[in-house]
Amino acid sequence: MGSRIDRDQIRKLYEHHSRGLFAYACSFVSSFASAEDALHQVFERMLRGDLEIEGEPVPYLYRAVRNVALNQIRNRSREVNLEDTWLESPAGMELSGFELQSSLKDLPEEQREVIVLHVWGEMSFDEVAAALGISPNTAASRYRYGLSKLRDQFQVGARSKTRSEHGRAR
Amino acid sequence: MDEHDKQFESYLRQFRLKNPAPLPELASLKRRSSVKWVLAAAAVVVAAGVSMVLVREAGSNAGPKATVEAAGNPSLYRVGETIEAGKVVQSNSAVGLLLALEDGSRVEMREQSELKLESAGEGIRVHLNSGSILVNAAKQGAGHLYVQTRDAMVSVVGTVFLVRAEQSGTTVAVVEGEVHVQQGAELKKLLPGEQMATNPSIKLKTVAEVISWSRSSSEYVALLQQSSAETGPRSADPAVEGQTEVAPRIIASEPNTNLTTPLSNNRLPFKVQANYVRVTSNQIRTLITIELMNRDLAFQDVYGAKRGDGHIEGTIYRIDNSRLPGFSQDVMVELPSNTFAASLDQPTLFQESRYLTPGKYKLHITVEDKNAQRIGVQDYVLDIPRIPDQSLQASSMILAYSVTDRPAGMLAIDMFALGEKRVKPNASGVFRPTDNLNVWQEIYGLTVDPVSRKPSATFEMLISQNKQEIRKSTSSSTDLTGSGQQLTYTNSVPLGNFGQGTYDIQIKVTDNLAKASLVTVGMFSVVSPSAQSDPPPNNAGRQIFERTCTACHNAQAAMGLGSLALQFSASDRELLADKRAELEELTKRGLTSNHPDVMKVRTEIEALNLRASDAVRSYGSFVSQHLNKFGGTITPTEVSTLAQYLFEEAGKKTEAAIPSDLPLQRQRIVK
Repeated sequence: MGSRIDRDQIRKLYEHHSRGLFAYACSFVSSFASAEDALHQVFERMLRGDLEIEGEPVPYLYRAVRNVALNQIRNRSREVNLEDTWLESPAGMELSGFELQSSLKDLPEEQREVIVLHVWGEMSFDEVAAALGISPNTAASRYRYGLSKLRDQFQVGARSKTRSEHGRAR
Repeated sequence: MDEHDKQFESYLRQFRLKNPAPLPELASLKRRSSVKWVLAAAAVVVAAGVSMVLVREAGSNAGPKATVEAAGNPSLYRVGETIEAGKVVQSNSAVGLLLALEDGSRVEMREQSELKLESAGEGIRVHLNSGSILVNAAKQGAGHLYVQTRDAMVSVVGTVFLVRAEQSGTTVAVVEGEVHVQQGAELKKLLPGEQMATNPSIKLKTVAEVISWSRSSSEYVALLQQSSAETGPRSADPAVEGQTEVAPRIIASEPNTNLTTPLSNNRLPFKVQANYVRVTSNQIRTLITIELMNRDLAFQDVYGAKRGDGHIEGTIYRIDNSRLPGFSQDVMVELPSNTFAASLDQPTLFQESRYLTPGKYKLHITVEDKNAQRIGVQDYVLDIPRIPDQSLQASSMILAYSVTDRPAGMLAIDMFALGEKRVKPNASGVFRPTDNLNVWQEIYGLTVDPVSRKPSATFEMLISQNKQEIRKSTSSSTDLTGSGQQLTYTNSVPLGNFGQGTYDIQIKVTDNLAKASLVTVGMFSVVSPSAQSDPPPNNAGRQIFERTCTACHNAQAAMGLGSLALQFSASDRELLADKRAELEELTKRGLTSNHPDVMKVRTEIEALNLRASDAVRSYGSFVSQHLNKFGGTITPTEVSTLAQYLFEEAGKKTEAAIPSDLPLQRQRIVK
């Protein structure tokens, strides 16, 4: 059952969910510009009336952003710019920011998205669960597993990086 | 959630999500990558007397870039130079220029032409101010290529065509494919062999004549004849169509449509090493040594000698990607003809030094052999240490081909000058049995005896292999030059009785007054001259990679490949292995293939396999696009082997993005 929604509704959806949707896009693509692009594309399509919403609008939007983001990875992976991160690092912690982003990429998708939504999308587990169409308990447990994995990986990564930065003479 | 998790969570929250730009208003929305729309808008806008400008949406990346692929001599541009969007490119009065655009298209500029690159929506626009260009457009993906002159706009699908901009008007001629020319409200479609001028007073010559200046003109003429043979003669006066939709036309991306340029799949190998010497605690003299083997260079005869010419260019970037003054210099290697053959196995060294504050930098080095038109490109991480005052510290330990006293008349800032010594570092860390291993290190901050005003320190150099001591030598500070604040330690060891292999070297400084020691460790290897070539490639994919990819293996490519690895990441691979194990387990338990559990795992495995093969395909298209851009050649069968190889390589644990060959340097203070 497809339904068109009017501009005011779209605006409301944008106000309430753009941050979460943006964070969600960030969990797939590695550049700020691509994530922003994915978010805007979905809303632009909706404004033009090209996008018919099926079922609940919020989970639908998340699925739409995910599809656009994944398409982008497929189509323009060669454009990714190392400096164009979606995380703003505190002064002096830029390297940790890079490392964090690359450690995030190594997590399974289902854990990564929950972490990004909860930590940076500032969403409660209930909200995350509603957005992704999973139960709040699942969201919380994925978060817990993901977080401890990330912690291990990030610390291991940080250690092995320091080692490899010294390099070795042939 | 335990305490550690809580702590880690608050650590994570220190990083902030950047804010996306607000949603543009409905009115300003633009549809992207729709050719139909672009052309319709062009018709409207140009009819209103305004030249058409497609502004890139906010939040997009910087504009398109081009790389100079071939430049005549003399030229304002160097081969390999990057041309940013918005910069005006001029070919000079005598020679043309060949540019490679990011999408793989080639733009050949005739002499005395001027153009500028701009971004256009998701595509690239070449703004031709004057002169002639021949465009060999790559098959366009999401983007589009446009050529804009003062009075016409040419949009491209995948073709070879010429545009000439003169005061009186613009001429467009097509060699292959199809282009659309927008002039005012008129849209003309041109097919191979056809041409048009915006001003009827311009006299048209044949297409073959107008492209005769191109270095690939014979190829193009052959293409022209081929297409006219296929389709018969075309009308000279093409139909005017107002609202034509451009059907994407796919042309073979095989090399037959490429311009003939020197193939660059033969990179120039060189080694780089950086060493750090303290000036003040906050200023470190960074010595960048570049080592080329003479046999890798091309030489020409000059007055009884052989001469190689090159150019070395280095750019230093801060972590935020801002640029610091780099270096750019022409270099010359002159070898006497009579000893030429013997010198080929000798290295040639160049050195640059920069004063930098401690921190991390990226060093991008390009070395060009002018005689052979070969380039080598490397990225290095400069990890510049802080060397504080008032404590026992040391500079980098330099393992050198030679350490001699600085000759009279040589300035302390000259190449290889290091204090009172002249040090020629061995950038590769590979020595021959006929060499001496020379060691140079500066020691800072030794405690000075209040009475004698002299430091008292012992130096111990230990060379070992597999933890077995090979050689040890001890000396004391009284043997060395310098003061307590700065002592120079040097040593020289003949390697004649060292077998082939890798050795560890360690220098331990003990400050007898402060009761502290400092250990610096490093590595070097000894090989016989004949064994100095690179290790043999061990499989077909690797061979293809070595032959093709390393030629253009720059930072951008590495990043592109790095992001491709995301498509099927290490955790995906783990998951696939897990699922396969799970399936095996289920089968062992005797479950049949239509048991729901088995079916579920099967579907999951299939989905993962599908993604894996998608990822392999992406590698394939990345490789062919990328090589196309750099003028390399590769056959379709090789592409699949290479894609499989890259995919497998990506599965091995990911390493630091930028390779670093800097010698191992660890320091530790021993109480």
